[in-house]
Amino acid sequence: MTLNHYLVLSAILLGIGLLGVLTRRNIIVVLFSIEILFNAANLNFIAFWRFGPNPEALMGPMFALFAIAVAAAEVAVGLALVIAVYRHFKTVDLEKLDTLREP
Amino acid sequence: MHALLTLILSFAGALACGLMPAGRARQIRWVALAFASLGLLTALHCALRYGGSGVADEVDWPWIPSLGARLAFGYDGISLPLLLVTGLVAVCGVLFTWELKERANEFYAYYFALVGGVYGVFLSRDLFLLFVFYEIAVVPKYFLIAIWGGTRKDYAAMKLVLYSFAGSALVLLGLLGLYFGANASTFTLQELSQASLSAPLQYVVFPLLFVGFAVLAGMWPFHTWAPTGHVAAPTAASMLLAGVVMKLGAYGCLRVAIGLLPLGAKVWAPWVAALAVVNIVYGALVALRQTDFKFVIGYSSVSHMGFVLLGLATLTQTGLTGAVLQMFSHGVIGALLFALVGAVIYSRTHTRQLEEFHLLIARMPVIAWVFILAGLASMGLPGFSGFAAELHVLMGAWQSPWVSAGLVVLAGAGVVATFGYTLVKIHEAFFRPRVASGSSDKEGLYEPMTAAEIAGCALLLGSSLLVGLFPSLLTDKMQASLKLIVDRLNEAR
Amino acid sequence: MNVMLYSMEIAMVLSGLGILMLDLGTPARGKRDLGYLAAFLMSLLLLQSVFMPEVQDGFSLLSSGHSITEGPGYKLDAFARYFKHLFLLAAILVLLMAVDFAGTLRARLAEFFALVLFALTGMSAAASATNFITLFVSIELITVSFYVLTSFQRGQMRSLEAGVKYLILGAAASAVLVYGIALVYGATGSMEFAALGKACPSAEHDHLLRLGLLLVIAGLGFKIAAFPFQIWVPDVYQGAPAPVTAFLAVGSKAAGFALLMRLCHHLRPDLRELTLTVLAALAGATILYGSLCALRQRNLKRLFGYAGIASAGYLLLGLLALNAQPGASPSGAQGCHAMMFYLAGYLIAVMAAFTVLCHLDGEDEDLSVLAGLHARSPLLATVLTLSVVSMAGLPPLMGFLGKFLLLQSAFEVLSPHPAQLWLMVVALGGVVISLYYYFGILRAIYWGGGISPGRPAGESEAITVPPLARLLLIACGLILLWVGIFPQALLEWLGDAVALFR
Repeated sequence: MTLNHYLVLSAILLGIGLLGVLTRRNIIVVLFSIEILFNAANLNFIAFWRFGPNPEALMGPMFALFAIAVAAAEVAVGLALVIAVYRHFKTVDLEKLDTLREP
Repeated sequence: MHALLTLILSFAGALACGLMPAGRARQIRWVALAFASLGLLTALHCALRYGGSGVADEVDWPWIPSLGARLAFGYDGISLPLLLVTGLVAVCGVLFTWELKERANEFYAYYFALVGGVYGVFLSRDLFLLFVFYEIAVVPKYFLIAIWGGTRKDYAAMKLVLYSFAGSALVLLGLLGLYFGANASTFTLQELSQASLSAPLQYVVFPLLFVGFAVLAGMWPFHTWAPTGHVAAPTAASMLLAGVVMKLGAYGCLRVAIGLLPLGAKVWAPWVAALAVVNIVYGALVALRQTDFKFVIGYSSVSHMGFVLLGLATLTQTGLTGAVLQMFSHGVIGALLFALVGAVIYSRTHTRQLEEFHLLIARMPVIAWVFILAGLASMGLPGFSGFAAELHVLMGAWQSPWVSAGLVVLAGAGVVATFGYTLVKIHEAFFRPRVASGSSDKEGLYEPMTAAEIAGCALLLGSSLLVGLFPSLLTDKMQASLKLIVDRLNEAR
Repeated sequence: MNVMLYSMEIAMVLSGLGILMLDLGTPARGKRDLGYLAAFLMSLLLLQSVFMPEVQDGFSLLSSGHSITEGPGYKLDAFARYFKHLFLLAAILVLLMAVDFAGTLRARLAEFFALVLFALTGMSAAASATNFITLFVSIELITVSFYVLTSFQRGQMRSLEAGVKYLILGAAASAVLVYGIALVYGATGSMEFAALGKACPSAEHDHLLRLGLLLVIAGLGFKIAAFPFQIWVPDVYQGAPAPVTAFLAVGSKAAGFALLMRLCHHLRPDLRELTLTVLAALAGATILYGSLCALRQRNLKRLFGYAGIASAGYLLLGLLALNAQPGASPSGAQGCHAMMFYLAGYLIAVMAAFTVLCHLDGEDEDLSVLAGLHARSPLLATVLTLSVVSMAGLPPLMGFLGKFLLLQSAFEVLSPHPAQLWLMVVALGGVVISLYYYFGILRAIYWGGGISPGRPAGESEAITVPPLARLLLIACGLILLWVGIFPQALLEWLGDAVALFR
């Protein structure tokens, strides 16, 4: 396994994530996709750190930890919002949220 | 009195009027008249003191050092006639809107903000400052037309703002080119005029600056804001627009474009001359076809501004003298015509459609004769200022190597066309029985002119006559300042 | 570790937590006072940092023996301090605005105030960030706080909808940003911005760096609302409560630009060719898109949203100077100078405009709520006029000089390449177009087609503005005018702040 394998995997994850964000209409699935996006980046951090010139400096994993924590915060807020939205709109379909739009 | 007083008085007037309660229309108009008159007196005093050469009342304070912009004020022989005409029109604008009651405090606040901006442009000796004042005038113009205006006011006001701002955008681009081209980190006219600008730069920057300013001077094909704007504006505002604001553009063309870019001017002058002649002829022909009295005057303004532009394009001492003289002359006469049509006649007939007028010569004889006098002045009858101005312009154009003889002949034809439409429209307005049927116009005599109207007409007509009979009163003062520009033009190669 | 380096942020977080604690013991009637308390605390902090800056630089509690990253990733220089002042000022105005707006927010006021302070902490940290870790954490602190703030009116559909839209697009943008940071890290082996100035070990690394840089710019482009990352702006601006929109428009945007300035400052000369082209294209597209879309808006917050997009485009013009080749004229400092002046004017104008909006009684912020405003409250009308005219960039207000400086610096950057002067034409065209919609607002204030028939008769009643808001509005108007006419004091102060870009 070389660095490139990890990079390719991460790029595939990025593609899946972006596709999910752009095409899916269910908010929860979109939140999944965002998680995948973050994980693609995290994988990169770990790979670059592991195959980088000085693995003693723990910057890669540290950033990954930060990113995981932040992603957790985003999802926490996101799920809370989804619940609030479901209470009002009785749906989690993004396309049905259309009170705000161009005149 | 120091020339800066005109500026300070105007903005103080704006503040004073704006802060008065709206209900006190009577007091507000007297306050407005007082501020306007003081401004005029200051301008007159400046004119009497001016020695005939150099820059008078010069002040120069640091302002934005990092930009090289300074608070530099002063006036010379070119600004002087324009200061005078601004003062005159400002006073008469108040006189002709004597009856204004609706939101009078706001009206005069914007009115004086506009007047102050105009004074500021004429007094600025720093390009950045000049540009700032030039822009300050935009908002009050919009408000004056859009709140108190008439025919299609929203459209006219927005059109005026967009046109003048598009012009400003060009000017800004030109200014930046000039600023970086001169590479002196300064905006003062004094230092910029000494900077050496390369010929290619001048060729590019000149049209930007000239066209940018000329939009406001009503140059064809960018003139279309002028008739609609003038017609929609309330009387005092259309007097200012035609009398003074259009001169801002012409002044910018002369002071900035021609004054700082002699090489560019020489290359582009033939084109400017051609457009100017189009202005003269086109304005006159379109005026002939109008049926709304105010549109007639609006297009005649376009035609008259053509003479200013033609005078500028000559790049000769005589022609430039004519251009400045024409700025003064049209400022006074244009304002008078708009006042007569928009306020004096309209307030009595309640229509501006020529075919609804019914033998006005018998029903408002004094007003009719005043208008006829003004019309004669407008078409350049000897004895009025317009004659001296147009004569200078045509003579300058004939001498000028940059204006071809054919164009001069065409411009002469434009003069004839001016005679034509003026006489035709005077006939249609005053000597013709009603053409359209079903007008609500009542029969019999109209009420005579009020004191304010008489004073305003007398002031404007009188100054036109005075300058017409003794043009040297103004021309002597401007020779030295114009010579500086002409010398630069001749030396540059 | 030098704790004093973070003293301002610590004070902000503690204030936020304190507000939350106090909330427990505050009766429902007194909740508004917590907003005043928060604003008061932030004013103290602002005064302290303006008048006693040396206290923060003072001593260090613990000396940093070794740390995981190369440096603290944190700088408290004049540049950072200027932005912190801006953010504090914005937060104070937003808090006071929110107190007046409390009737519409209804519940959980204390949390609202606390969240504003947390977002402020993020912005304040962003101004100091010099490595990607601080950049990421501060950006996320801002964004996550704003997700909640945006959807704060849980009873209103549009607020919730705005929150969801902001969350999804914002999280996706953050993920792209992280991905970009990962690539940059892979290429340079470092988290510091300064590493962007060093050569890469190999050509592949260099490609990686360029790709990563573009992704980072895209991620930050989302925060500053540059085209094509602006899609969230209109909906979120419209749906969020007015004080939040104001904070988002000013704070979030300024934080993004502060980060971009720091980032671009370190770029290698050959990378600058790439970023200059990209940023120039972004600027032109952003100006055009914002100006054109704003033309047909009738909702005021949406209109300001699009106008804000256009402003981001003008600010990007200033960023070009930082991406010019080193040694070229103008220096990057000049561009930053222009941006920071513009941001100050933009802050005052936006805050004034939204404070006025908060005092209008229409629920929907349609242009028609402005009808007759000049008669109902001359003060609100005048201040809104000043703010709109300043945003339109007309003298003698602050917005004019801001736009002028930005255009000037862009002109100087682009003039060696005449082919790129199209950007100037676009920018000036945008200014002309913008007059149309800005003057549309003025028209609505002063003679907007009367009051629509559906409105109650009491519509034309005078609006009473509370004394404090009145004072703030007058102050904003006077600042716009005074600094517009005599900008030298602010410009000189900015001269110190941009010294690091010389």
